[in-house]
Amino acid sequence: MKRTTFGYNIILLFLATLAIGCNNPKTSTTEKIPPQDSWKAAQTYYLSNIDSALQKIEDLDKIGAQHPNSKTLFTELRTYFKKAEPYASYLSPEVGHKVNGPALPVFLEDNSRVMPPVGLQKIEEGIYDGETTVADFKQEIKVTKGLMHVLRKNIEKREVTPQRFFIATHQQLLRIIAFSITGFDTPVSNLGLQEAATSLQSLQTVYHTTLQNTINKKNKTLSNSFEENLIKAINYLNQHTDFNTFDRFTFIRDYMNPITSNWVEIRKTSGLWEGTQDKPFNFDAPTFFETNSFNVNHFLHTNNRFPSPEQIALGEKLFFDKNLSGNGTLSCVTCHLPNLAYTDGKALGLDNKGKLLERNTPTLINSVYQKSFFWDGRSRTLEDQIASVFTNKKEFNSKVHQFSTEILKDSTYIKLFKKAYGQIPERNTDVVKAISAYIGTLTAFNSKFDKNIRAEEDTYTEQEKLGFNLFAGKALCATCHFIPLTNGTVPPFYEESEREVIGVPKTAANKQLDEDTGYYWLTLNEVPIHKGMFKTPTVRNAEVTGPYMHNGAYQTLEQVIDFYNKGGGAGLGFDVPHQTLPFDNLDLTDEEQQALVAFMKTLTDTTIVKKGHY
Amino acid sequence: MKTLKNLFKISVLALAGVALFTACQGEDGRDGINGVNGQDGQNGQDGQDGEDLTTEATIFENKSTVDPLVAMDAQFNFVKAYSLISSPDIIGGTFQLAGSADGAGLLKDGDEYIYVVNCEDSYAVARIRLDQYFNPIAGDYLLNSGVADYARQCSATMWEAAIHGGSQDLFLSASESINYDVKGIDPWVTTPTPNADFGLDALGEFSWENAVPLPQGAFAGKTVIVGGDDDSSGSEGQVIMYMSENGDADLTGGKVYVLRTKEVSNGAGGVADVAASTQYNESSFDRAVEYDVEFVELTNAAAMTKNEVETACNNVFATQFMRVEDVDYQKGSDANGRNVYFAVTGRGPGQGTYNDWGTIYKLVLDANNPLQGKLTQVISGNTNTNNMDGNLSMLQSPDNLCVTENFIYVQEDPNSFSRNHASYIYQSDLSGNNIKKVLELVVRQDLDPNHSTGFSGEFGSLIDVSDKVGVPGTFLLAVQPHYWEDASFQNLDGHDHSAVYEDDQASQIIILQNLPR
Repeated sequence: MKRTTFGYNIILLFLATLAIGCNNPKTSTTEKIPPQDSWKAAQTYYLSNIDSALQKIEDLDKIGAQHPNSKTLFTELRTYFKKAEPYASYLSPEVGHKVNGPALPVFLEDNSRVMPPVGLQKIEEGIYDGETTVADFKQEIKVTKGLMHVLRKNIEKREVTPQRFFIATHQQLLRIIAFSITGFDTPVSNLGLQEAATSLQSLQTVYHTTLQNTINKKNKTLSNSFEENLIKAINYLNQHTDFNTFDRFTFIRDYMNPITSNWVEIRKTSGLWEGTQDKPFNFDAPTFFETNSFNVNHFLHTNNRFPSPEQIALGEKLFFDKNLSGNGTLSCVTCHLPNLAYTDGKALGLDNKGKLLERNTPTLINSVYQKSFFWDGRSRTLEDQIASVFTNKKEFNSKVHQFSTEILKDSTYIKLFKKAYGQIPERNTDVVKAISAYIGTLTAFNSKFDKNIRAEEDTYTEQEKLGFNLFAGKALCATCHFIPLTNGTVPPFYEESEREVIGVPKTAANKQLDEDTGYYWLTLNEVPIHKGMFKTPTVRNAEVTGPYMHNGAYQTLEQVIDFYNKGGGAGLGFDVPHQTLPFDNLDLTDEEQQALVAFMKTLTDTTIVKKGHY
Repeated sequence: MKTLKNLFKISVLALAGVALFTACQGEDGRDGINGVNGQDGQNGQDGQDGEDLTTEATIFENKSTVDPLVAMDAQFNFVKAYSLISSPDIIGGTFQLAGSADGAGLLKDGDEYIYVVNCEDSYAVARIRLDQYFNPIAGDYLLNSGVADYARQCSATMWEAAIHGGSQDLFLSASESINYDVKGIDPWVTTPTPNADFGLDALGEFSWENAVPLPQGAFAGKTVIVGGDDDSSGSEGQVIMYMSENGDADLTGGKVYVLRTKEVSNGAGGVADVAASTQYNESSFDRAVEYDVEFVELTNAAAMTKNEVETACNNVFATQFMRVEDVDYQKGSDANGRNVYFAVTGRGPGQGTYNDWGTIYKLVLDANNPLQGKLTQVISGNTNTNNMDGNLSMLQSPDNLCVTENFIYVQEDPNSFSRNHASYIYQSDLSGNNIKKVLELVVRQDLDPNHSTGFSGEFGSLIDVSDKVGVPGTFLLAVQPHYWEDASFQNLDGHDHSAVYEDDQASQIIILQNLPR
């Protein structure tokens, strides 16, 4: 495994310095690529901004939520935070997410306690909506400040290295697309567009102190192009400030994608860091919308990374084999049909006796990019999910780890197992791994949307573009179905798949709340905020994966949009006290609703290119 | 407090007397005629003062107003439990113990004692002074929630100079979140600095559950600390070793290692070598089979963030456990100190993972090289799940361990998932045989604000203090009765964390007498 370590990087850096020194001994002092103190300057930049953010939160504490200056102070506080965020949140993802994450109560798994929301987005509600008391506001500030001090401590303690810098920057570039322009992290204040510009300006400043000299010398055109593209994007943001009408499609295609492409080139030109296989990203992908922008190996279980072509081929054969199930009636493909984007087209799946199962069969395409599986999200890995199908009495109904010797009647398996794993297994652990490795190959990012946003083709209609802009803007879809994957796995760390309470009805008549309580059963003490909570699924291939929702209640995408437009279950008048939709209703016109559906239909790509690897 | 208790004893005696008289009833006679009221008598002479009531001072009595929240199993009726401290008790006029008492250590100070304990959900560490008979006389907080960062302190171990080496005692308190560090807190400090950082950076950032130094004689001239990573994300849980060859008390210059197995099950009860460049988890171990393992270095670990450490663990193919909770070592000799045990808490049923109910491992470190060892799963709750080779079908989420010279004590935490019984403590021999239930946590519905509760409660630390008090079989047990909630238990650490944010649980510390070592 050629995985990068810090030690390796240091050696690389050393060699690079040495090599350049040898090539041009006379000017070696000026040729040196970033001297140590330039990374120190980046660290100082992040530190001074978190310090300024801390100063602003102190000031806010003094004047309270309802002072005439509160909004200005809050805006400044967020601006400073945004400048520090790339490095702060790289170093401490969990704390960064608490400081700038959704204002939702946090469930602590190990003691079943629900902690009240904290962080900037909670403070934002207090200032903009006035929904707070003086004491609560002070407490929210205090806890947020405490967390920001943890961020500060780590920024001060952890020196900036090329690896840290490039990963942190990559993450922030994605935050601009996934969070800032979608309103995700400024849901009430709508400061997101402004903050996108702040993040880009901040990148420019840090670029000047770290890499600019090096890149100027090696490829002046690249350096200039990058700076021009940054300025263009910032200007575009400054000129288009209305959240509802902001043209996100154009902004991403024409302004952000050139910047991310430049950035990959800059990284490669610098020669300071070659990328790594152990993060969610393929660092060589020029945009976040390529077929390989995301690294499947990172999403697979750590015990199953870098599967061999033989293991994947074995998994594919097993996927279609009914002898895996106890009574020989089911295989994976019974419910996950390739011609229906690996769903079954039914509201509810069928069990091994032909009776209805409890929930809708989800698509497998791009399913690997999740951190929890099943509609209630009970399994944390694809392996755990597959193992659960084996032990489910209504599905494969086999014993734990029981290897089905039935399949060996097909003698080709003997060879396949030996090639894949060196032996015929005693337990079915390798069977699960192989199927999982195969499902990891079921990825597809060549939809009409992908091709258009990559500017490979120019076939997008005005309606489809409007649909995307609503999806990522006014309709707030992308605050849960994150761009670009459109599932609930939270960028930029992709460590968690979100669950939401939306109050899905029992049937499309919208008369009665569905009785399925979802995630609720999984926590021992039945926490009320978990009642009716389900995992956020992908929107990709929605056109061909109906019926929709965990119970298949809706037949059409129009019904789904109508449901959200009315405000989910609570909007339909059901008793859903802990609904997590960030709106009461959406006020979408008919035209807008149609545009959303038209956009979703551009997310269709079910062509699985046969791959022996990722 | 004492007077009250004596009065109580006397009234109990009096009541017994009444009961005795009323019990001796004769046969039913016939109803007589109503008599006439007699004359009132005169007051008699005052009696003389009696002798002072004297009781022999002892450790082994309830020191707290609340009875111990444990019920001994019938087979352990020779073990007695006494309550030492409960949250409502006011100590030294001002101090009250905050909720969810967890990791702890005891030090002797002349005739007196210092008990230091993590208060997990209150984000605090309490220090309580006990007199020679364990009467709590004063208390303060070495760490409080003024750090305002939600970092919970879980298990802990007292580094005792006399046992572990060096010249200084140090309370090693583990942070499983936010700061991800082991805090080294001076238990003797005159004026506490409860908002300080305390982080021991050289040990590395993990979801630390406990950091347990091995006795100095176990590896002469080396500092060896074994820890648990209570993590279920990315790299999952690791067994951590911090090791320095610069003497037996070097907490700054060592390196960080994680456990990686060299052998796995061959699937048929035998042992096979691991495949190259492959990461394994617990599902590759059969119970009661010994596997060769090693500790592999995480290069430059002290400079890494918690996430970088996780990535590094995967890159060296560290063996994964489903959340490593507590660690302890066998007592009795330097050689025994190389026999390390750790508890893996499991994930609960129905999720398809490799460890539903929890496991306990024995790790025998090589006398000549702490980086080599032999690993055996000695206890497992997975009797009909996972590998289905468990030996304790009652087990639910083993969370803490106490290992003595002859026994393993396992404490449960059934708060994330359960088998519908209260939290138990089990005793087994050092190989996981002859497992018996010792006691269970008493769930008192009357102490729950709603008077109705599930099995909500868990045990914190169980520590053997026999050598300090000079009475074999003396242990201190921290109890977290999660159901016992009251607003008066908030803000006890001297730092107002507001009603919304502050935890409102009580704690109790229990003295166990005569528990076999």
